[in-house]
Amino acid sequence: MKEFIKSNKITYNLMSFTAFKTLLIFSLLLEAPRSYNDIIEYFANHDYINEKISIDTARVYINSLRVAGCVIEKTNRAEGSKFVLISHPFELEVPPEQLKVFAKIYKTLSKNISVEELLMLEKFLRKLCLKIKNSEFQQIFEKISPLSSYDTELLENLLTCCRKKNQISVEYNSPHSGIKPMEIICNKIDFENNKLYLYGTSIDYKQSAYLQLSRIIKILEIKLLKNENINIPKIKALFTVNTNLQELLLKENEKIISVTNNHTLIEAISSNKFALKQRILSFGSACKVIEPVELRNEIIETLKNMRAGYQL
Amino acid sequence: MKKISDKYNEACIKVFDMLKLLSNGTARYRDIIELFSTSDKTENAAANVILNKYLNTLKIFGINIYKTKNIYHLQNSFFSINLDENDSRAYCILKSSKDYLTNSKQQEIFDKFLRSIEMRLTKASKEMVDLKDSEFKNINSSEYLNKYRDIIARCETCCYENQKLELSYTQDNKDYKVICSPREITFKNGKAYLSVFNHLSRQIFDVSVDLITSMKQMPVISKGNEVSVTVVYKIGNALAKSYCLKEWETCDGKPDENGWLTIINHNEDFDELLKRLMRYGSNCVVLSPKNFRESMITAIDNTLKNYE
Repeated sequence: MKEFIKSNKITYNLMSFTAFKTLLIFSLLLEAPRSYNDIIEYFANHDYINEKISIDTARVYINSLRVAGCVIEKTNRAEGSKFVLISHPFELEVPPEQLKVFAKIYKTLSKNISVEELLMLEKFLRKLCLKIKNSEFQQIFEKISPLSSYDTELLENLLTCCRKKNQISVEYNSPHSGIKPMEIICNKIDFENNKLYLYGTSIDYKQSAYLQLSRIIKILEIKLLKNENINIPKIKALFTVNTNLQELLLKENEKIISVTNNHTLIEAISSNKFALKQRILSFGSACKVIEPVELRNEIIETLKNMRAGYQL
Repeated sequence: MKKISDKYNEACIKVFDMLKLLSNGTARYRDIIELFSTSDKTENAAANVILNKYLNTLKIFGINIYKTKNIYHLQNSFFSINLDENDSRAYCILKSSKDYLTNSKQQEIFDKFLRSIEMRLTKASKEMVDLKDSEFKNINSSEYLNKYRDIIARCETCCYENQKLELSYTQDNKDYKVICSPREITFKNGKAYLSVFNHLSRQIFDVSVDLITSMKQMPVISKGNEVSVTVVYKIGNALAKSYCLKEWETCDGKPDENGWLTIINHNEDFDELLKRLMRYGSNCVVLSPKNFRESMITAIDNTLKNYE
């Protein structure tokens, strides 16, 4: 306003001061509930309005906002007789066609970005839900969001621990032994079969481990010092996978040794035999373990047990 | 004389009506000018003078409006959405994902959604978004999408028009030909897949678009009410205790006397499901349908043969 008045581009005759004052009151109410006195004081101290208005005038402005489509309530005297803007015609409303497209894009996006980015998006969209008038947006968002059932604060803290490779103690609800403390050196958080897992090195079991995030109740302690010299036995496995190389998504602990026709020889180093066996089994008949012999025998044993399940 | 409680300012109603017309981002000149024309057909010039007064009022207040070809465009509205740095990054991620939509109509709808948010950002938030925007490489520029854009768009059209297709594709050096109804395009790990319903096997599966060799439209359209085969399997031991149902699965939650839990799975890609159930080892047994149970047995037998 200042610049317009100074440059004489706008004169009082070329604008509607009533409309301008209405907009000022509206924006005041957008910020916080206000009383008559708050409004009167604001106008009196305003650099360019600098005008003392009466309570009746202020009331006419409030009436006008109501007629224009704003829902304004007044608190009782004990709460300061303040006007509260409940809703207004410019609230963000997402029509059904936009809801549908948003759901489609968010479902796709959540499968193609990192957990850190997903968390960032989750927090932004939760904030946005509060600004959107129609509750359908929130309902749809909660339904499709892969993080809706997770405690975002805990997830954020665990991600920080992963970045710093912290050794932490957590309260964990084990499906086998109930609630108990567990100590882990954090490595990463990732999705596996639509569930979030904290991957790291278990101090209790002295092997790499993954904990289902929904079972972590809270972080009990972030250790100042790490157990640097835990002796974790690691298995080095060699196996072939007969599949299109382009379709093969390697894990962090795997590397390609050689490729002959469609046979890819992979070396995997893991301290978690259970996870390694699951990975090998998921390839089905396309995979054959070369070494170590113990792992090869265990896979054969598992397959025989699986087969026995179908002979009943 | 009106009571004070009934009095209101006409100017307030006018400015709000004008903003309501502009609340979707644009409004036609003729709709706006009508607000300032009176029933006795005020001369156009007079209505324009009043309109200019209101445009000036909004401009001074900080709401910018510009006009192109008889359309008014609202550049910003009442500031109400304030973003911090992480929110700005998140908004840019959302914005950059537009190209996951291959249908131009849907892109247009998504643009409207983004515009309605952007219009409500505070000035500082808008500046932060503009700054972050350049950091985010639009997925549009990815080599993969550029390469397969045409085929993805073709797949999208097939889904939209409920076409029935003869789809040919190559996987693991084998050629396949199926009669199917395309359902949707999905993106996983940055790759696009066409999800289809196979009429012969009555199962839904995903075909990577880069494996598609041809798509022939059949003379009939898809009815869209195809019922896919449901897979029933049971899980036991530790897996039964820790298993989390997928959104497309149901279960009565009660293990049998031997601790086995029965899961009913709808619509999961058979290949994906087979890989997943193989991982569970002897803690999982497929009960039905017969052909999927046999596929599982064959997969186990063939894997065992690798070690003979």
